[in-house]
Amino acid sequence: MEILNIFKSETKKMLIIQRRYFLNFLADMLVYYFVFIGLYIFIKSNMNIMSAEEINRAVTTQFVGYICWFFFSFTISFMNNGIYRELLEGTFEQVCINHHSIMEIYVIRLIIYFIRNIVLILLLSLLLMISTNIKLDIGMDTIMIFMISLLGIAGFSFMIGGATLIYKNVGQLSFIISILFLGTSIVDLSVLPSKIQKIIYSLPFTKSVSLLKNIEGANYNIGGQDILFLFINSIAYLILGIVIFKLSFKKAAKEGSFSRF
Amino acid sequence: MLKYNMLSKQYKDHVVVNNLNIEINDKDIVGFLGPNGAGKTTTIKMSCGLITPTKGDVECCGYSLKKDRKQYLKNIGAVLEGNRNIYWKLSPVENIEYFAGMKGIGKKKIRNQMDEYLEMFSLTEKRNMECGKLSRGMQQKVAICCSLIHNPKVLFLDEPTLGLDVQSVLLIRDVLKNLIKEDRTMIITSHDLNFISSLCNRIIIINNGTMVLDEDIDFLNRYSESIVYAVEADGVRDDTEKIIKAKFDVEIEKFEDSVEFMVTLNNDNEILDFLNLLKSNGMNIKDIYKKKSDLEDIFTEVIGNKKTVKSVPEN
Repeated sequence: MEILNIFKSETKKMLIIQRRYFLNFLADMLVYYFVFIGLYIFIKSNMNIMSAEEINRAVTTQFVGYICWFFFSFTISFMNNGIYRELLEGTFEQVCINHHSIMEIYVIRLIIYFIRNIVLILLLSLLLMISTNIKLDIGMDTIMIFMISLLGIAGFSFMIGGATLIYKNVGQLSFIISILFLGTSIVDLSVLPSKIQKIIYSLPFTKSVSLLKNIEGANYNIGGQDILFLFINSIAYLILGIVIFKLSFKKAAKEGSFSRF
Repeated sequence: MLKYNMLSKQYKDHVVVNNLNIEINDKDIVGFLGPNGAGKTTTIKMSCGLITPTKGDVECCGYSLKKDRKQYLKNIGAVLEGNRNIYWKLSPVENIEYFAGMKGIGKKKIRNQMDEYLEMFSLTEKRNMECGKLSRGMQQKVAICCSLIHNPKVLFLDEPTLGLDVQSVLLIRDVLKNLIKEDRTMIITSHDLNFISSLCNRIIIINNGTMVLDEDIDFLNRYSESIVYAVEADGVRDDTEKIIKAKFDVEIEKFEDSVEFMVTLNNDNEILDFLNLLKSNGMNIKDIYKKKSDLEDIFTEVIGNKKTVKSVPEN
């Protein structure tokens, strides 16, 4: 019952703040919409030597990569932005004076944030599909890969959160990771040396984006091995993320640095 | 109610809090004083679980912060110095409901209590205004409401009047006086000694991380009622000094060409006897004035180590 009340409180606060910063939020959404439209026009106008089917496949894979980047990038920066903003606003310590651990509170916040972002990407995807005439076939495979990937992304987010607790302003780190992720979402990774590919595929989002692009763009049928690798990869990042976050919290408490930013 | 057991905090080779052993009783309103860097805020934050002690523990209502963290934190609330403590984009009602929800308490349960606090803190008219648009004093009142909404047994207030104008300080003082009626234990830190002496029944002073005074307000009142005169004379011989000390409760400070006597008397009339004693021993009186001691004097004496604060016997 207490956890449910925390859920309700956090959801209400998120909605109130979103409403009060609505213009900012709207501007963000428009930026993401127009960036993709720009990408779409670029692809269409520079690939007129390809067949319509090939163009469609290219556009669809870029669309999937872009939407995944949008969602995962927001999620990865959530912990950094959320914690750092609370440190600046002077409410982080107040949130910590709670018989529910900071871990519990941030897991709840992350779940609420996931739900909010899923709604946003559905709306954004719908708008883009209408604008560009792209057709996506969202099957169970897509949903399963997406859900498994969320675990790894959550873990990664907690790692960034842990770094924020110790080093405070790590916004540039989140930004670099976001750019790296954008690159891996759009670029064909098969052109990279195999050693580099192995490193990149070990990241929590690369494999899932690659699978999603293949499913939507090339009617790829995922195998058990793909799912198993993705699951183990995601769970490993989730556990590592939680451990790093908890240890970082303990270190920051020992240093007494929660009020510093 | 609240117990500090050998509580210590050290950063590398700098000891911020040194073996604090204090027992605070139920319904005590404690003024926690000390100069900047004395360790007050560090002690408060350790009490709230925000800083891990190097050594020692804190207990609240029988629950140890180290061993029973969940139960301990259920029983405390805090308004911290230098922090906003509330969300400026939310209204007072939204903030109170949010922090209640964070403690696992539903809106319906706190509705009556919330209306009561808003009324008590004169926030009813501004209940739906964004806190960022309220005055600093009102924001502080909202922060106090939020810290109380889960009905904690112990409330920590770290510099609740910092940055407030005179009127806001008086408002906060009135608010806290109302809270005292709720029989809650409070620990208040402040540099405003008038504010502290008007609210607290007990004063603890710490300096360089160590407790240097722990007395109830009656002691301070007796101290401030004691009659102390400062008398400056041109000099004193050793044998005269012994005679004076045998007859009067006096402290002597010698300077190059004068001597200052701080004499504690039972009544004002006795000063004439003291002055006659000095004159009969060949001393010329240069200056005389009556010293009125208050919390500021005690604080200055204790922190500056100019003299130890004497316990004045109870009547």
